[in-house]
Amino acid sequence: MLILTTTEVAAAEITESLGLVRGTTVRTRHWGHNLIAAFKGLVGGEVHEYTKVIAEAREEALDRMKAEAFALGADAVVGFRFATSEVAKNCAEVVAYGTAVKVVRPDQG
Amino acid sequence: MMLDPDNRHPEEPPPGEDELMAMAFADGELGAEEAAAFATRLKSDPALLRLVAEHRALDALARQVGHPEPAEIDWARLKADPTHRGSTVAGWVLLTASALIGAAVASGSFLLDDSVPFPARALAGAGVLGLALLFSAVLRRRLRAIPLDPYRHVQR
Repeated sequence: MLILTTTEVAAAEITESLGLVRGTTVRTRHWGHNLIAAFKGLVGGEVHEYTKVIAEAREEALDRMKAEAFALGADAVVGFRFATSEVAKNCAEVVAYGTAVKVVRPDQG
Repeated sequence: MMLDPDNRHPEEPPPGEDELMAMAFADGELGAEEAAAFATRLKSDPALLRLVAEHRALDALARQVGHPEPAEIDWARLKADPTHRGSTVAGWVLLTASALIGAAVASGSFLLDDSVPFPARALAGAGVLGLALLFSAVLRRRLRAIPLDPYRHVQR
């Protein structure tokens, strides 16, 4: 499935908008990772523990959004965006959303 | 990525309109109408089609020869460093052991302290047991969910 941040699909025509699709997740690492991350906060540099939790949350939210788009019979999602917030300390909340559309390529008639 | 016409060999002629369009098409930079019109042209223009294919192949090649994340190997090496591993393992063992033993001693001394009224000890004991049961339920659920969680291996 094509996921685009643009509102148009190059080389194809959007024939139908199926509406908003979104996926949400909140993830965290276990206490041990948070402890190590706290120590890294004292010395600086990349906090891999949190990079990983954000990446996990991003992929999960994206997959959930795709599943919703598939369920609607979409060919693509346009205007795709990620949004993040923190609902609890050391938790990553990621929302992936966009507009599910059906498209027709010129060579498909 | 549109190729800068000036970023070419001095003897190389500047790219024509078709080449610029082919590059933009290959990179998905054309608008919907423009791309559709260009796609129609491709059907009847083999030379133009070849140009698009060449640019797509160059893109793929550039991605293959491009350096991966430079720190990938270094991170792995640092993580595998014996001193790092040893101090991390020792640190966790000491911390876990002291936390468990400390909690057991503190709970035991409070619950077995006859100077504390029995209702207070019973209440505290029930609270500790409740917390332990809740934690074990969450831990058990997590351990059972780990094999079903496809996102655990996502690194960044």
